[in-house]
Amino acid sequence: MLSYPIGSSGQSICFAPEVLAHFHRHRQTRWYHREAGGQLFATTAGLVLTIVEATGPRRSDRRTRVSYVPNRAAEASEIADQQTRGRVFVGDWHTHPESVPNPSPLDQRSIQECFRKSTHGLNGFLLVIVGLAEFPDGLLVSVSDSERTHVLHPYS
Amino acid sequence: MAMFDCASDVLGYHDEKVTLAKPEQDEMRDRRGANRDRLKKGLEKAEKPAPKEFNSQGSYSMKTMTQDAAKDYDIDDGVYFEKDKLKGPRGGEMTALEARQMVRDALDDGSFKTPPKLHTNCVRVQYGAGYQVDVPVYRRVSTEEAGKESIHYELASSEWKRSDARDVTAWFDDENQKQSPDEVNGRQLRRITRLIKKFAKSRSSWKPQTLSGFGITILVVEQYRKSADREDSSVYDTMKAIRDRLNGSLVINNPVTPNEAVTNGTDDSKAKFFRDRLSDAIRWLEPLFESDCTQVKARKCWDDVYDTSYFSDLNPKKEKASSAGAEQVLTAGLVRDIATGAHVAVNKAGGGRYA
Repeated sequence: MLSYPIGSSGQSICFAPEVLAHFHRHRQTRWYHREAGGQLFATTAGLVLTIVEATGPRRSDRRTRVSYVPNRAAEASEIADQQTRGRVFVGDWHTHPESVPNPSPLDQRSIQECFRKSTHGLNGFLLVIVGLAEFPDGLLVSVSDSERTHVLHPYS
Repeated sequence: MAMFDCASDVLGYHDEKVTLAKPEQDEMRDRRGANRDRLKKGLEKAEKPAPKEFNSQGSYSMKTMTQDAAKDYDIDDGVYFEKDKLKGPRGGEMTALEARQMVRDALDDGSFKTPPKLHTNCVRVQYGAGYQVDVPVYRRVSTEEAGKESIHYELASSEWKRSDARDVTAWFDDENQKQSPDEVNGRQLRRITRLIKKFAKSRSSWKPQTLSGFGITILVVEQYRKSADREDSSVYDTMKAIRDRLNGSLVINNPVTPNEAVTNGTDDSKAKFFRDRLSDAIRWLEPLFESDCTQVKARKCWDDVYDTSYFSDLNPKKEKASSAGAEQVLTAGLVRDIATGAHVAVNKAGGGRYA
């Protein structure tokens, strides 16, 4: 299972195979594919957070080849639904039409602002960007607080 | 040399700073509704004919309105009457002037600081909040030829003039569908129209000197250069094509009314002003074609075009001298109370825009 340690905290993030398959399915492999994205929900066991659900894309999202604006009402409804199932919201994901993805300045600003303005019990929000290359190269996993975005690297 | 890629930045600028956000759209709709109610009540009180319908037109209807720091928004909202209901004081046909006067009087309930004014093609209502509603007055004319009924509309101008601004909206929507390479976010032609209108009014001193929004819209539709993946190239190429076109002729014809120009003669000063400002923008963007162009430099150029710091603000901030506290997520982990499993209910706000 693809797993990423979070700094020196002892906590780590794992991706369930279904989640990786979901990411893989939405890669922008054709010129006409638009950015896709959604939210990430995890269960916790000890210090391991397993991403068990990646929602989206939704019909109501605004998507272009190079931008993605999620429907906020749909997001709220997903969070409420997942919470009743014991899953915690941990961040967002979206695709990029590039082989090895990098967070754009807008991506960083957006997730940092979201972290700052939202009510939550997290020290950071996860931002996953799905590129074209096979995983893990094609997967950018990062955590953002209100000021910075830190890229995480998988266990080798 | 290819243009330095700022496509995401330009799209972000459009989405954040150019197109009207939902609350502003709602506000505009409420203002339009309030004006309609005022007119209906005023007509009823004066025992004048009730409107058959209202129809929004102009940039509000074409969805090409752009954000304005001074909230200087115009709404065009046409009112339509049945021709045979518009009777003059002696029972004859109401003249175009009388129809406009009737609407002006009905709108003026005495509460305005600046009373509604008669203009050649509309009645203008100036609201205290800084916006205005233009109300063109139309009559619906039914004619019969060879037993077949045919309907057309006439605008109360200096006289009754065959016209219907809904044709303009239909024309724009059709062109937007035909020419845009995409189907989302209003489609690209509409976005480029907004971006070029925004540029035309990017300095308050330009506003009274430059071409009307309708004139700019006609030029964008005429000279639009699409680019499915490069919003920035589409803006630049369209600006350049419009500038070159205006170098050839400053006359801009109404796309739906034959033989009617929206410019004044062959030397229109506003078209000329707009052309010269486009030349400025094209010059300001020249560094984007240099081989050593950097993202910082490119963003500064776009800042110059729109007279903003939006683009440079996208550059990563310099590291702070002290990073105390900023690394908490890396030392304490993502979830605060992971041991207890007590999770705070999440209420998401802010952000929500990726590129």
